[in-house]
Amino acid sequence: MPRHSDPGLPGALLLRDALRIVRHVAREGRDIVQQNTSRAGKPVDQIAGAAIAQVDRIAHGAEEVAHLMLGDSGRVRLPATALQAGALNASAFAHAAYAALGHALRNLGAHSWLISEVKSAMAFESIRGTNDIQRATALIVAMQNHGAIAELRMNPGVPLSEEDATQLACFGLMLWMLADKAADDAQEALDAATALSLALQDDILKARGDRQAIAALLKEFRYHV
Amino acid sequence: MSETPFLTVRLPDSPDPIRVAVRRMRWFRASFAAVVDRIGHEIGATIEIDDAALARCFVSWLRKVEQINPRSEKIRRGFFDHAAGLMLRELINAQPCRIVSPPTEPDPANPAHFWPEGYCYTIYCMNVRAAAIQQEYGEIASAGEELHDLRTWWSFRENTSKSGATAVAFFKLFAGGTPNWQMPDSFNPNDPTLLSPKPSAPRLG
Repeated sequence: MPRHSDPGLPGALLLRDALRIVRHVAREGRDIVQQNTSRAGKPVDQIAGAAIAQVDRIAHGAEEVAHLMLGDSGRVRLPATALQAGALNASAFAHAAYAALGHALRNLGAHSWLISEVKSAMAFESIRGTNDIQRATALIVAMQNHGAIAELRMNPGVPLSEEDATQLACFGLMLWMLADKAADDAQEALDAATALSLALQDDILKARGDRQAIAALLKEFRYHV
Repeated sequence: MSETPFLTVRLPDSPDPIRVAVRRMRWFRASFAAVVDRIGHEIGATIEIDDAALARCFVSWLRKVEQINPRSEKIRRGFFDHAAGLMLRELINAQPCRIVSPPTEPDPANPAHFWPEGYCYTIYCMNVRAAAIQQEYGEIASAGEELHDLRTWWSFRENTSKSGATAVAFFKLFAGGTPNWQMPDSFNPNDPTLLSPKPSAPRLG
């Protein structure tokens, strides 16, 4: 299905973010109602059943609109983007970051999340410099400072805090963007970059806030994705 | 010591030489999965791969190899063998394979049935080494007869459970080379046996 929005338009970023918020809230609401009615007894259960059906309709409606407008379902189609200065604009970065971060978070064991293209674009606009490693390092920090990933919830039993998973996902995203890849193996490259982030978690989490250490890790592994 | 064939598996295509491709996580994962899948099929077992453990193994191996990586052409050939042995050590330490269902028709005399996980790790390293030295030096790799000897596999499994480092020495034995049992995982560029394999040293008990 053709996309109905242009990733280059700021208005399109806002619209996509808004639709994703509606979808996220509807899904979360449905989950909360379902979790709480199971222990409330029969009368409550019956009333809640009707409420769940209503919330389900909202969630499905939001998902349908999101699917039509965003086309974000099924296999993630990731552009083979480079991080050199001038190769990407903020909207294109935000668009790629949205798809890649969602995939990375799922690989890291996240249950639900809300990624903002607007905040990703703002993070991209905030960084300076021409060196791709420096830009990637600055983006890891800026994406977190701008709150590009919000409402993150990990699956039960996953031994990663939300804050740590955010750091690892942002590192994986940048490692992926720096890596050589063709259009047909972009997703495999992202899986590999996320797996590397997880394997390097001690180093990455220790390097939090230390730009030199983050840059050194990116430099060490960019050709090994 | 005679040379024997071993299970060869078609590794994924790569635009890069094998020595470069194996240092990329994407190819490493895909090639490891190809070997494990083939062995599972051969022995009638279902073998799962723990991706996180495999990634830890890759990082650990890569850092060690990048640290040593000799530039001298004279010792580079010997380093290919050593790097493959180090990979076996890391795989045995990380244990990324899990047997979901054992071989359907167990054959107690077959090393692949005796220790399927260890067999996967060993055959993977044998295949990557073979592909790399064929590309770089035009050599056709074979295996030492110990690769098919169950008593050696008993010793291999027991010794590596106590010290992963011995995996490097066992790998050299399996590849038809001369193991260094004293300091198995240290690379000595002046080792005269690097380029010309000699009869095997005594096995560990």
